[in-house]
Amino acid sequence: MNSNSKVTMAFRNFIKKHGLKVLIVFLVWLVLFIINQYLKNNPEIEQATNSYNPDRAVMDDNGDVPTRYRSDIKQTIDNFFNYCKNEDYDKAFNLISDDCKRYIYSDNIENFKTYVRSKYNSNKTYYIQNYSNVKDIYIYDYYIIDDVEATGATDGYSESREKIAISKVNDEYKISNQGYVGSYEYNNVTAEDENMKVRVTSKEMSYQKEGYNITITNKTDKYILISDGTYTDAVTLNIGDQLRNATNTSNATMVVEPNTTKELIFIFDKFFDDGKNPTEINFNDVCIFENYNTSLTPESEENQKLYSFNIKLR
Amino acid sequence: MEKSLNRVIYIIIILALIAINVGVYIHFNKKETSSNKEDLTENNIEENTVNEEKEDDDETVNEIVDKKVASMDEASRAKIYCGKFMDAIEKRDYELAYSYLNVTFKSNYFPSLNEFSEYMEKKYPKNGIVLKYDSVERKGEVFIIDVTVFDDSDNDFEEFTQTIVVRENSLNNFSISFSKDNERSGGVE
Repeated sequence: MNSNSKVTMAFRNFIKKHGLKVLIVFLVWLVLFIINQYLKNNPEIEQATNSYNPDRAVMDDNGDVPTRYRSDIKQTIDNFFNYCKNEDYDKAFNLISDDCKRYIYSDNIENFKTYVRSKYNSNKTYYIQNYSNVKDIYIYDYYIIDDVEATGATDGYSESREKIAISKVNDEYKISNQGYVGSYEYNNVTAEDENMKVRVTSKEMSYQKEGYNITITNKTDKYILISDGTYTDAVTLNIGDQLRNATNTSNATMVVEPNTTKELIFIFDKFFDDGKNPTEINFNDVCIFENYNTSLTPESEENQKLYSFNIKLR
Repeated sequence: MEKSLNRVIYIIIILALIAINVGVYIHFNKKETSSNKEDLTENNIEENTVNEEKEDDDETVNEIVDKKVASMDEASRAKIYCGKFMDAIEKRDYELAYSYLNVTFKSNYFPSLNEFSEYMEKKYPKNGIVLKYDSVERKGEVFIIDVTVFDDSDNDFEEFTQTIVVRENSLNNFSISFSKDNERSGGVE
């Protein structure tokens, strides 16, 4: 066999033995080549950094809005804005949470219309910024601004801001606006002594405040004075590391008449996203009077008893 | 004998792949020359080479500018876009400047290029437009920029303040609105 035949034979044997490997290597090379050419002909477009990220929480500790919810939340806000702007009050009101309808608008759409008319017109636009997220409640800063792109701010522009809270209720996102977040019902939170029985029924949460609805039953035939503004810390909220004074007692007299039940609200400064859980409400200067009139104070001689009364919230 | 022949074949295949890669790289990176390449004189070759280099330079300059603008913070980019708009005004390229305008703003205030050109001609300095940026504020997806407009070559030009609204759609893709006064204020009387 001459050398040409040997080379040919060797080549054929090589192909028989290693042909598949060669083919695989060639195909891999071909794929890499094609990818390289594609990337070369489609260079990466320079992207500029942009600080505006409406889904990034300003309060970093609370995390961003989860990606899977962003689209629906934004659509809800967009729908709400457009309904308000276009005076479609029924549809806009329908996007408001039930608690917000009750607490802010007293379940009356006319109150809502009054609010909308004061904020919206056809020349408005809006933008949002996620502020903080607590469990499944997403707090946004909601800005309503004149459409400066359309006007060039020719006559100046106005802008308003409010906190809105968005959460899912029965598979639908609902909005609580004007800083309101929602309501929390307490179950069997009571405290009692010989003079009174106190029950905390619920609290109304706004972004910066909490209002506790408390029912007080006077079991005696005397007057029970909870607060008359004499002491700023007559009623406090214990949030663990601090005591917060009630903010609505300094100019109000909170007295429960003999043998009656009264519903009172005590409001405290507290941020919704501060991570603190209130542990108790304290009535620090409870007074007992045989007969009461507003000239009497806790320091009056007629005060038969001055004592503290605490209600554990858990 | 067979083993050494196999080794030789492996080497040939590898060398062939390398040669193909190099050849393809050279082929696809070679710039296309003129279709009349065979007819070119020495001068034409030089001219074409210069043109090709110039094309290369323009592309490179644009890429460099894009990279530079992309590397800036967003407030600086907004000022750059203001500058581009004013640059077009200064050069009397009103068509270009008009193309930068926000569509709604355009239809509200300058429905035609003529109206825009007339306004800008009267309002802005004839020579060098100088902007002093008084404030830059982000409002959602737009920037609101307060500027003072000067003419650095004409002492008679009365400076005026203006608000410019800039939206960056993507890098170097932007739209402009600005506060338009109904009665002419500032400028040369």
